[in-house]
Formats: sequence, structure tokens, C-alpha cells
Amino acid sequence: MPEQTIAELLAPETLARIDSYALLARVAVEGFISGLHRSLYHGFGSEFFQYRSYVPGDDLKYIDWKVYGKRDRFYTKVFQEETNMNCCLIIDSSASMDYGGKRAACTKFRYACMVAACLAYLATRQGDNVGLYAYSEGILTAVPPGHRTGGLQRILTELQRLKPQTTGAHADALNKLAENFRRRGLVVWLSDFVDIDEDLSQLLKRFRFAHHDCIALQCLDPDEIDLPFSRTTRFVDSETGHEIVTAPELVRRGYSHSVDTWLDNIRLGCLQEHVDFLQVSTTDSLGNMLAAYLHRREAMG
Amino acid sequence: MLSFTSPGFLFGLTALTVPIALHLMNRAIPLRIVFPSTRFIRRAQLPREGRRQLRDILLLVLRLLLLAAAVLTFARPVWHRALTPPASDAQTATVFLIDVSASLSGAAGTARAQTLVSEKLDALGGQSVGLVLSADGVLADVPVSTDHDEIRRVLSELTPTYVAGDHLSGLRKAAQLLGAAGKRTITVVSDFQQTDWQLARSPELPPNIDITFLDVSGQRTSNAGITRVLVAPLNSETARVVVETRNYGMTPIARPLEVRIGTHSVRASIEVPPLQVRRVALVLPTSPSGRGVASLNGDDDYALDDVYHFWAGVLPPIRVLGVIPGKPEPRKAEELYFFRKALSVQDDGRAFDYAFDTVEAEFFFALDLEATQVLLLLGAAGYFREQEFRLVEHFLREGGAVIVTPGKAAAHQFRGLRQSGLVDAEFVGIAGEHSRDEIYGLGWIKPDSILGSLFEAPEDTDLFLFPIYRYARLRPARQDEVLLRLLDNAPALLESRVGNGRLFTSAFAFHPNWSDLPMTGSFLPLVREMVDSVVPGDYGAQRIDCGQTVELPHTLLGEELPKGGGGDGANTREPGIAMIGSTPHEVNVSRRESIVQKINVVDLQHRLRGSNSSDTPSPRQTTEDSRRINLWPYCASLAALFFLLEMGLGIVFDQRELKGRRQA
Repeated sequence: MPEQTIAELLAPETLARIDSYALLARVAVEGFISGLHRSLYHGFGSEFFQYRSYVPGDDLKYIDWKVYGKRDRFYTKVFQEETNMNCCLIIDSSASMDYGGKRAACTKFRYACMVAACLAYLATRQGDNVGLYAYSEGILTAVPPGHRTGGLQRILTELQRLKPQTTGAHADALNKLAENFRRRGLVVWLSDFVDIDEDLSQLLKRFRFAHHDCIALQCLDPDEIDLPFSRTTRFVDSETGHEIVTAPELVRRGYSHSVDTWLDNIRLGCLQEHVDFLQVSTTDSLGNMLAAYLHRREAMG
Repeated sequence: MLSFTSPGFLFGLTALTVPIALHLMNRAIPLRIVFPSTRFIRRAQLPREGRRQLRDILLLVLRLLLLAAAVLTFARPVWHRALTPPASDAQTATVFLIDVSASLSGAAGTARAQTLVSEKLDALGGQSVGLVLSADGVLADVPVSTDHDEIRRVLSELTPTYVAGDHLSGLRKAAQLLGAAGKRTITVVSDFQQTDWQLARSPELPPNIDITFLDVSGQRTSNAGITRVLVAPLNSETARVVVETRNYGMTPIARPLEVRIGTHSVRASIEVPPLQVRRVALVLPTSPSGRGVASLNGDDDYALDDVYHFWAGVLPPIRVLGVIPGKPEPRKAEELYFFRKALSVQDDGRAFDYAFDTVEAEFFFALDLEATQVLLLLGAAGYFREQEFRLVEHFLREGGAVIVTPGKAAAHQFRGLRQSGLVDAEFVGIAGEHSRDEIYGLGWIKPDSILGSLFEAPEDTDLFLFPIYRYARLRPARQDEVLLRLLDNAPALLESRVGNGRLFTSAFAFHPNWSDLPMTGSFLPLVREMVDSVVPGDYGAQRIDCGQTVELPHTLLGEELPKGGGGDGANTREPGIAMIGSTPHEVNVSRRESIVQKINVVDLQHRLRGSNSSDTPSPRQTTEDSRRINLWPYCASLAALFFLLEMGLGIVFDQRELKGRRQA
């Protein structure tokens, strides 16, 4: 598949048009994986899965020298994963996630759901146990990771059902989930981190204390970055209902400065807690996110 | 009360919706956006937004006011002051303006006026009522009062006058009696004869005066009157009297006519068809008193025009002033003698005589020529200066006659006349001055001139037979009228018209040194014809209407004229003969009062209410205007003010906003 086609395929505006998360995740992940030049994914089990052309950078230990002797070309062996590591996807379903600007193809929540679907598909494909948790004021849904058949389908179904609502009680939800995550695993937190920048370090610290590897994926709309509005606007806080009427062109500079400071604080908090932080915009390709996951997964061995 | 001269422009007020719509469309309606978080959005700009809204509203209001003021300016609003509130019965006042002109005496008009006004008085009860008797002016007035006794008394003594009606001052007086407050009414009681009211101007009546009319005219089915009497003396003892009678009615009349002069009277019967005029000539012996009366006897609906007073006595003389050089030419007195002799000859057919005065040329400048009709400048003009020639010119323009004959200073005389513009003929010398060997004579008379009609057959007279020894050679201008010419065709007598007067310039003197004309039979008619040329045809008694003002000659100024009834003295209020100075005045009732035709009362009311279409605004219109206040100048000023305010505020607000943006 051409690379450009894959990029287009992973573009949110393309994927957002697919209603079925199952199809969406399959298209995105399969396309993403087939387009990788360097294999970041070899499987971590012992069961052979397939051959693949060698790409510079692949570990030499996976080269099948017998095949090289017959064909005079390098092929690497790909194994089916046989691990049972848990991957927990936590989605912020607060009302602030239900925002989609004119430049975005979908809302932040929809984007987060697409990412979650892709990660769930990818993780399931390589044998990990995938769980899904969504929260706003409380825990909205919980699909614990397990080996049962149909787990992925259940996750995808839950993603289809979820609606963003009310305010996000991040601390309560995260504390409650951290208590229940007994087994070490990968925690992917998809949120816009609105109003939780100060509590972020404490929340992440609890996961890290339980030896979880964390990926904090901040999903933002471009409008939240640059406040592009030109005319007088009445801004209604999606969670608190607080209204502010202002002239965006007059407050844009101050707003950008405040947002930059806020993002820096979040990034700094994640660094302090050794948490991978990935800020994505609803206009960004999902490939970046999937690559980040794979890097983290590879680092975890 | 507000009204608009051009209310159609008020539709322009719909333009007010334009700025409102623009304001609503362009106002900063906040775009409502549900945003993830407002924690980083500052509210620092909110006060500025408030100011912006205030600015927009202020500018909008100013623009609306500007548009409204402009539209109102074109609509030309007018504010009418509130009228005086309706008056109560106690404030209601009425003034009766009763016409007592001569025409009211006909057809029982006076009695009808008394009856109608009395009935009106009864109907008015205790209201305030006033009275004005009006003829050619205000004859009597009773102030407005609730006591009607005085009015009833005046009414009971009401008698018509002999004068024609002119009620302008009466209307003014009535308005004055009414005052300024309350409901006011002028009730005009008249026969509304057209000749009295057709010239009635709209008086300066105060506003809110109602004018009503009470018509007291009756039917004049039978009316005849004497319109004029002409007297022509037949001789010193008898005179021919021509009586002109007019039938104003629609039926023929046959009435006895009596004409009386002094104690003598003559009766005759006269028949006049409807609307026709008949003249009757009677011969009567004259009387020293000169007073005559012609009267139609018998029944008549209007009796005042049945009597006519006329003058049948001696008329005042024609005053002739002879001006002679005096010492330089003492023989000119002889020429004056010839003139005096010719004019003093008694003529039985003539109604007037000549009064002769003499003055020397050097005193001529000091004379008052007002009472003089004829000037004889017998060689005296040769010694006149410029001011004397100006006096002569003024005398001529006023209608006098001047006869000029040459003297020793003929050259100076003709030059002076020429320079004064009195005569255009040029003097070229004296013929026969040094020798009497050559005799001249007249040879031609202008047929269509006053002398031509007198000497229709000059060959039958001695006009062309007398010798002329010397004469002034004149070269007449084209505009000079030559009445007589010599045998050599040289002009002998010129006539010049100056103003209303006539100037006769003779080329020779009426003196034996110059000619033998004074000794001929033609001299007397020639001189008299020239002198009489300035005497008007109706010279003698002046005919005036009762009440008519007589302009007194300056000789009577300052003197109190005797007045008395029956036509004596200078009383012109009643018919008769009034002697003013030496001039008899035939005073009779104005014959315009005999005309039956009435004016259209509706037109008259319309005119009196000041709605006539004269160039000058009527008083009522002026009053109306004074109660109107044109508001459009104020609206225009407001529009200009709002425009300037809008401009100024717009600039200030823009600068502030620009500054605020820079600071932001």
C-alpha cells in the first residue's frame, strides 16, 4: 500500500467517516503496520507468524539464514505474541471532550475513541489483554482486560455507546482505577487534562507507584491552542456552564501565553513521573499515536 | 396644535428603520460557543465592550434624531397657538353696524332696520351689545354694554343721511368696541347696495370676530330720479334749464317735474320708459340768488334722488392778469387797454365775466397765479428773467392760458421762451421795424383750430383786411401749430400746448404801432376765443355729492367756513348750494345710491373675512400668521447639530478605539 495512501487512511478526517470502530481500527492498524519500514513489532511469543522482508534496522537475530541461503535475500521472522500483559485504556468522557472546532474532523472525544479503538485492536492483535475505562463524574464504563473471546468487540461496542457528559472528576476516577489495577501493565490515559494540571503529578504517581507504564495522551482541538475566533464571542464553559463574553482578537495573546504555560506544566509533570506524554490535535494523524504506543510497548520488552 | 405644510415628507420617517436595521445587523452579537474550558480566557475586555455598545447606541440615537429632524424640516411643521377658549355667554358681545347711507331711506329700509335690530336685541337678552351708525364714516356709536336702553334710543331716532356709504371706518369702530376678549360678533345691518360695498376693503379686524349680515333692503319697484341739470343763460334775465331724468325701475313712469329758480318755477310732465333717460329743456327767468331746484313729484320708492339742486346764478369771473413792461415801454398800457376793453364787453350768452388785474413785469415774480386763469404778456416777457419764465411754464402746466405779444425787447422775449421750452419757433428779426412803407396783412387761418371754427368764413370778416406795420419774423418748428399766417406766409399767431395750458404767441402786438387789429371787428372774438380756450365747459358751479370733501382754494385756507342747513355755506352733508369762496357748489345726494343692484353677500362676507386674493396679506391672514410658528428652521438647526455631534463623537470614539487596540 503506498505511503501516501496510508497517511490519508490514518488521517482523522478519513477515519471519522467510519462509523464502525471495528472497521476503523482494523483499517488504521493494518494500514499502519503494513506501512512500517522498520519493524517495531515482532511479537514477543515463540509461535512463528510470518516472514517479512528485512528492513535496515531490524534486529539481526530475527533473520532467517536458511531462507537467505536459498533465496539470497534477507527475511526476518515475525512471531505471534504470546504475552498476557494488560493494556488499560482510560478515556476522559467529561463534557470538555465534546468539542470539535471547524478545523477538526471530529470532536476530541470521538478522536480519543478512535485512538482507543486502534490501540485496542493493535494490542489485541499482538496478544495483550486490553481493558477500557471511561469516566466523567464517575466511572461510566469498565471493560476489564482479559483473554476472553469477544473482549475487543465489547470494547468497541462500549466506545460506540459512550457519550461525553458532565464534569470530569479526574482525581476520583483515577484514584479508584489505580486501586483496582493490580497487575502491572500499560495504562493509556486519553484526556484533554483540562482543569487537572495541578493534580496530574499526584494521579500519575499512583500508577507509577504500582509499576504501571503510563502514556498520557492529551487530545486537544486546534481552537484550544490558538483561539482563532475573530468576532465577539460568548464562551460557555462546557463543564461548569460559566460564560465569558470577550473579544478573542484582543485576548488571544494572553490566552496563548496561558495555554503554553499550562501545556508546559503538564509536560513537565509527566516528565517528572516518567510518563510518556503525547499531545495530539484532532487534526493529527493517528499514526503518531500508534507509533508512540509501539515504541513504549517495545521498550517494555 | 401641530400640523405640517408638506405632510407627504413624513413618509421619509420610514428611513429611520435603515440605521436601526444596520445597527441590529452590525451590532456585536456575541457568538455563543460551548468551549472546553474558559479558565484561560480573560474578561479584561468586557468593560470595553460595554463602552462600545454605549457608543453604538449613542451614535444610533444621534443618527435617528438627525434623520427625523431632516425629515421634519422638509415636512415643514407648523405650530398653531391655541385659540382663545370659547367664551361664556357673559363674554359674548355683539355690535350692530347699521348702514345709514342715503339708500336706506328707500323702500322703508330704515324702518326695517329698526325692527330687525330690535328683534335681535330682544333675542340677545342680557348679552353685551354695542352700536355703530355708519354712512361715509362713523356717525354715532354706543359702547358695548348689557344695558340696551341707549341702543334702543338711538334706534328710535334712526334717520338715513344723504351721503353715500363707505363702511370701512364703521367696521373698524365696531371691532374696536368689541374689544379683544370673548366671543365677538359684528352684525352688519344694511341694504348691501353694490355701489356702497363693492369697494369695501377688508378692514384690520382682530381675529375671532364673527361677521353676520341683516339684509334690510326692500323692493324698489318704482324709482325715477334726476341725474343732472344743465343751465345755459339765454340772456341776462332768462336761462335754459335742461333736466336729465332716469327711470331706474322696470315700469314706465309719468311724473310731474317742477323746476324752480328763486321764486320762479316751471312745471312740466315727463314720461320715462324703464331703464331709460329723458331730458327736458325749460326756460326760466334767472334770480339774483342763483339757487335752483328741480324736483320730480309723485310717489317713489326712493325719494332722495327726486330733487336736484343746481346753480343758475352768475358764475365767478375769469381772472385775467395783464403784465406790461412798465417804464421801458409805457405805451404797452394802451395795448392792455384794448384787451381790457375787449374782455369787458357784456355778452348776454355768456355765464361769466372777466376780472382784470395788471402788474408790471418787474413785480411779476412776486405774484401768486393760483387764482388767475389767463396771463397777458404784452411785451413784458422781453424783460423776464429765468425765474419768471419758470413761473409762466408752471402756470401753463396747471392749465392757464398765456397770450404773448412782442415789444421792444422781442429778441430777448423769444429767446427766453425758446430756452424755457415754451416755444420752439426761432426769432429771426423784426419786419417793418425801420419803415412803414410796406404794409403786411393776414392771409391764412388754420381751419381746424379754435380760430378756424370761429372764423369759418374769414373773407366775410375784416380779419384779413387790417394792416400790419411790423411783425416779428419767426421760423416755426415742426411741432408749433400756426393758427394765422401773413400774406407772405410768415407765421402770425402760434399756439403751443404746455401741460394743460395753451400759449398763444403773436408775431405782432395788438397795438396801433404794430397793427390795426384792435380797431377791427375781429379783435374782440379773436381775443375772447383765445382767453376762453382755458375755460372748461362746465366752468362755474361745481357738482359734488353730499358728504364729499371739497378742496378749498388757498385763499380760504385757515378760514372757518360758515355752515348751515338748507344748503347754505360750506355744509356739504345735506343737499343744496354751498358757496365756497366765490364758487357755488351744487351739493346733491349721490346718484350712485339710486342704483338698486345688491352685492353678493357671500362674496362680501368672504372678502371681509380677509380671504381676498390681494397681494398684501389681509389683516386676518396676518393675524393668522402671527399665531403660526414655523418649526422647520428649528428642525433644520437640530439636524445640523445632530450631524455635527454624530461626526464629532464618531471621530472621538474611533480614536479611542484605535488607541485601545494599540494598547492591547
